[in-house]
Amino acid sequence: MVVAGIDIGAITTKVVLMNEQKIESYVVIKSRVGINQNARECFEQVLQNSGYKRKEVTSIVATGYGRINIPFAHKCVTEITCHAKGAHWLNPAVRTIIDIGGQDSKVISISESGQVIDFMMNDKCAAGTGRFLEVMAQALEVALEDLGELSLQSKKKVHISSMCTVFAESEVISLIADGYRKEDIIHGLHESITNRIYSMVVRLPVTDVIALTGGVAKNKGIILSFKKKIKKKLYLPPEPQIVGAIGAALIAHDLAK
Amino acid sequence: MDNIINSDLKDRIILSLAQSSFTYKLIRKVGSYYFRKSDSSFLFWLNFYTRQLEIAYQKKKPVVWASIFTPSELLYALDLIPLYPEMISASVAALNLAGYFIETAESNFYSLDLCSFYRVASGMYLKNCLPRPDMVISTSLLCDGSVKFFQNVSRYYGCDYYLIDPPYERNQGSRKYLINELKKLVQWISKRTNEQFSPIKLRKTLELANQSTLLIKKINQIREKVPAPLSGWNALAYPLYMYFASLGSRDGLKFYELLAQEVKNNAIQGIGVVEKERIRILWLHQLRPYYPNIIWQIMLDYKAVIAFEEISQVFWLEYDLTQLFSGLADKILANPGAGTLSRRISSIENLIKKYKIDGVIHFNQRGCRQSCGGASMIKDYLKAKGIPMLILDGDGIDKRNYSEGQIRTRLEAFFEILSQNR
Repeated sequence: MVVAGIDIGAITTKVVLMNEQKIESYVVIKSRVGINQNARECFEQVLQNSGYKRKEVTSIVATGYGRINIPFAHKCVTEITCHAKGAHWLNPAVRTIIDIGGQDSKVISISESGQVIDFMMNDKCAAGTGRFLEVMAQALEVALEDLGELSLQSKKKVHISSMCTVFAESEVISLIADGYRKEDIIHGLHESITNRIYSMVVRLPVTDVIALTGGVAKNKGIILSFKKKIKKKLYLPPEPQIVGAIGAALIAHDLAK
Repeated sequence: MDNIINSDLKDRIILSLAQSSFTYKLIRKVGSYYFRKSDSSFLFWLNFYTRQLEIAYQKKKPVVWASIFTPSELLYALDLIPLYPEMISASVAALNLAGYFIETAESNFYSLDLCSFYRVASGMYLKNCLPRPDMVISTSLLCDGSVKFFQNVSRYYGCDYYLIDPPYERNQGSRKYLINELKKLVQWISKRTNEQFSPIKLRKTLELANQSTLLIKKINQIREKVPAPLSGWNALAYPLYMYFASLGSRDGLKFYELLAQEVKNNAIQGIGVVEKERIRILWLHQLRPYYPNIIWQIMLDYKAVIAFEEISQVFWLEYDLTQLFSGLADKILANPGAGTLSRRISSIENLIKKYKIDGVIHFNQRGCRQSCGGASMIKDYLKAKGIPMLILDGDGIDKRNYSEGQIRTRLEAFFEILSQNR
């Protein structure tokens, strides 16, 4: 049974194609303005990569902030439930998920069977999200994907006190002007995000195995920062960006049964 | 509207409409026709609300601006026309007009951190869009922002202000103090209206309030039935206005007779407000967003209903008509939202059992610090009892603090948890 999960995030769109709960193919592309068109293109691409035809896909579940705008999906499910399902499928020992997406960050507490027990989300600002790092990368004139490596070269602790993205940006610019090294500033930014999300983590039961998902989980500096802060086993999925789409595909599979 | 009409003209239109008693008469007439198919209780409220504003503009009686927890029974006994700025702000938001008054308030140095209910009301009086008060009375009960707001109103209009400041503890000393404060309030009002206080009139308003309270209790009892015969989402709108503004008046009694009949009819016919009801919610805190929003639609999608809301409880005893002030003082002191959080938690637990609640939503109105401050502790307590609770951050009035996507994800995820638990 071939099914698909589509996760339309604020920054990236992800599609996972599964056959009998096995990943056949996945695609991650930048989200653009036309959500439906975007999802359609991503879906076509995954079909092309896998060799399956559209009519062979029996069930499609959409998730992410754009989920309600996908007319060809059979069902919409929140990214919270999908991340729980996806992370549990990848590693059944996971009981907490930290998902740092482009637009929001969330901490999800799940049961042994992968069901959501409770969740926390950031309030409606960009602090502690992928967008925060994007803005800072621009201010520092470095590529987003280089932030992780650069922060590992940090030698001196720099504290970023502003949580607001706009204020933090001007703080970063001031720090550059004061002669601080970019590597140290980036490290400070990662710690700032970690501290902000950690305050949500401790509001829920802190479990033994914690999964880190979302695009920001590809950042080595963030991973290191979380490892230091949480002091628990951190599970990193092979492709942290598609965990929600995997969950959506698993729900699509259950629906089609 | 901004693009079509320049701001001066807009000001003039709003001012000329809001300052005329005729406007409220017109709203009443047009509204009665437009909403002719609505529930009788709604039409009655519309009539009551617009008539109060009309009378206030006509200055047929002394006008008092009061906070929602000020005992209306006393105000009616002293023949005053009470206006409740917080409730007026909610109706302005429902008409999608709040932004105009918020901008006015903020351009006059009212901070964004001030509760949006008071920012709208501030904008309204700064634009002279409310009937001028002859006096101002408020309590510090639950709402800490109200004290400074009403003090400011009194300064702005140059009229006197009386603050009822209930003690934190519920004991004999507090009771004695509060009874004395209410007695002093009556003398304070009499002095300003040159009308002698009549214990007979107060006895009458207390009697009317007792009769209304009996009906509220009856409504609340019927609401225990499944499916829910009254939508809590609606109960947090016009019935809430009457809950604060009508006790002690004949109109209040008439309103509750109509509402009780409607709820009873729905219950007898087994008509639920949500078709095939699946999820029963207890709504915490006294407010909800009043501007157009998607919350109710999401609830419908998940077959969820607000079976009951914390604010609609009857937590006070029948007034003793031989002890005119003691019952009013007891009511203020008995408010479960006042005093220690354990009182509030205990009443919430009781409501969960009574209304067969599946999940609890605490609406964190940004301006209500006293209520939001306890939300996490309530959540922890309920979690230990296995009752899921969602803390929904939002704003009842200021639409700029509303993000549809964020609200949708939080609510839908919560309903997904509740659905899987069933």
